[in-house]
Amino acid sequence: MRETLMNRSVSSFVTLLAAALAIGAAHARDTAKVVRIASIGTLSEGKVFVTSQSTRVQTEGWLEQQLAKRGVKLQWYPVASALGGPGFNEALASKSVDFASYGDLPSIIARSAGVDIKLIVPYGGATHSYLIVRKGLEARTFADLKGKRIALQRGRPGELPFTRLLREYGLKASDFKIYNLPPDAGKSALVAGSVDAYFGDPGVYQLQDQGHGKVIWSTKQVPPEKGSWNTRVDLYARTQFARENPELTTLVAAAYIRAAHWVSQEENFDEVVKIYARPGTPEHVVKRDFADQPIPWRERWSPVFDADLERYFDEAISISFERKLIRRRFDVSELLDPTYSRAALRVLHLEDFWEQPSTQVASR
Amino acid sequence: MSAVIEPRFGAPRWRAFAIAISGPLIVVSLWWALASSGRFAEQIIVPPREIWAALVELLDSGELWLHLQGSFGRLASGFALGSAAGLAAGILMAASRHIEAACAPIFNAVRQVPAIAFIPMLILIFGIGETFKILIVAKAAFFAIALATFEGVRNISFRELEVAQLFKLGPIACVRHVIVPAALPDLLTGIRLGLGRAWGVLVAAELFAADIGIGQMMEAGRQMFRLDVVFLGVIVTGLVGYVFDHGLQRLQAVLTPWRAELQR
Repeated sequence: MRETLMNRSVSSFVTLLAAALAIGAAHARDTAKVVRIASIGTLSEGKVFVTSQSTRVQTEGWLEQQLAKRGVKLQWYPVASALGGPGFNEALASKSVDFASYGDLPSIIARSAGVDIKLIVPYGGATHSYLIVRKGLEARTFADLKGKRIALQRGRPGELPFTRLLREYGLKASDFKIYNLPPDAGKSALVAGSVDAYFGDPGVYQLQDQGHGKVIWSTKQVPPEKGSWNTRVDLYARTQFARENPELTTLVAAAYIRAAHWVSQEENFDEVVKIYARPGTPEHVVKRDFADQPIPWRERWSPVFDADLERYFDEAISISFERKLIRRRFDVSELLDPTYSRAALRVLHLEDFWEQPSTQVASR
Repeated sequence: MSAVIEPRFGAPRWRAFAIAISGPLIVVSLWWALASSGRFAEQIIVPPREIWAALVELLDSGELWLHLQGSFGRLASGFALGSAAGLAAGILMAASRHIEAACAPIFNAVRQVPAIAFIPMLILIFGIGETFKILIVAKAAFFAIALATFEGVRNISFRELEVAQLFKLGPIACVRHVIVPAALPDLLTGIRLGLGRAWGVLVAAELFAADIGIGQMMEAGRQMFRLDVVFLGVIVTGLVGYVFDHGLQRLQAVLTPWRAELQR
């Protein structure tokens, strides 16, 4: 039923134009001839393979068709997983890309440094962070690791829950020896015993299974009243591009909402696991990461701007400033822009698919 | 090198100074012009004043000293190790044709491999701790100093060695009183070269993996999108290298004045 509705909305996507034009009333017409989206990915045999939600957007092909109809090309801009945040931020600052599907802390860092970007489609907080200690180390709590060597990639989304954990224990980063390493190198260092602990992605389950260490903490243990500590990946747009090309921006937002709609349907669970397993994480690890979450499957992927999202970013900005991860504090409204997501939800007739937000983000 | 810049024919010192700082001033002005041209995002081509602000910030917090201390500690131990070994190897190879013949192929082959190319291998063997960084510094110092020592000792004339034999000097005394002074000019050049290379490769190794250090400060700076810190790291690395080189040049002038005279 929902699918037919969607299909109908696709064929008559002209309505989008009207919605988009209403947004960017000041501008006569979108002028961009190419839409460039950055996403964690790889370039293999001349083809770009992107990850997470972008995978669905890429394989569905809908966005590419819609853009082609308007004489616009779609270009994927892969950023190596080992590089992460800086790859996106440098590309956004130098206007080499128009959109980026990437993490929360890197985007906060960029916004704080004055790179004009906006979060236009939230994907939901999907990934947990884990703390694993090496085999043979007697450490039961985070505090036991004081003075020890911890591998953590600086500036990556995982540094946010790590920083919250520091605050929770009344500790400072300088109470530890922090080794700033990409995820793969960090995990290898743990196996080799070069570091005592690793903080980061669910790949640690594998290390634990192989007997290299023990997971002593994860964001799954965070009590619900403290809000979500999950790291987020969302869709961001360069503000200037979005302002000058509201129709194309709404189209890209719509493509990512279609992906969220697809991911949210339980019957696609196995496919979703496959997509998330693509960057080299085994499927059983992805399933364990997805497990034990109090939020229903569908709501977990909600692209709706709500009060929780606003609170999440508000707190993330505050703690980043407090702990000197960023130099400039800014208001959450500088980063969140629900306009395009709302327009796209309306056109796709998906306004009621996800639970309505308890409090709407103030319109601008 | 120094002969070009140093005042000659009694030219006033201030003039020499003005000429010496004109280069850096031109570079900073060009940079400033580039940064304010608006062609590049200011987060990427950071204006000079932002780098100055980063310097003040990192000095205030003590962070810069912390990183410099970390780097200097590694440099000191790695360089001591590498130069002691290089000195010994250089003397041995120069002293015996057999040792030279046996070592030359492998010595010359390994010498050609840039120290930075050993980093991944050393990390695999020794992990990401201090050992690999100290070894990589030692490697960079070793070859420069071994080669310089070899040249210096090989060029000692037979007559000097004959005098040493006449005085019945033991091997250690012979090294101390004859070989080292005779080979000193070459040795100092080797130390200058070795220290420069060791410093460069250490910063590169710290980019790979370190808890603290100038290289790590730059790497974390990039991760945190603080390109002002990255630029500052580049400047500090260059300044430290310059101070080392200049200091050793001065030392050379004091210890081997005849050499400095010759260069003029």
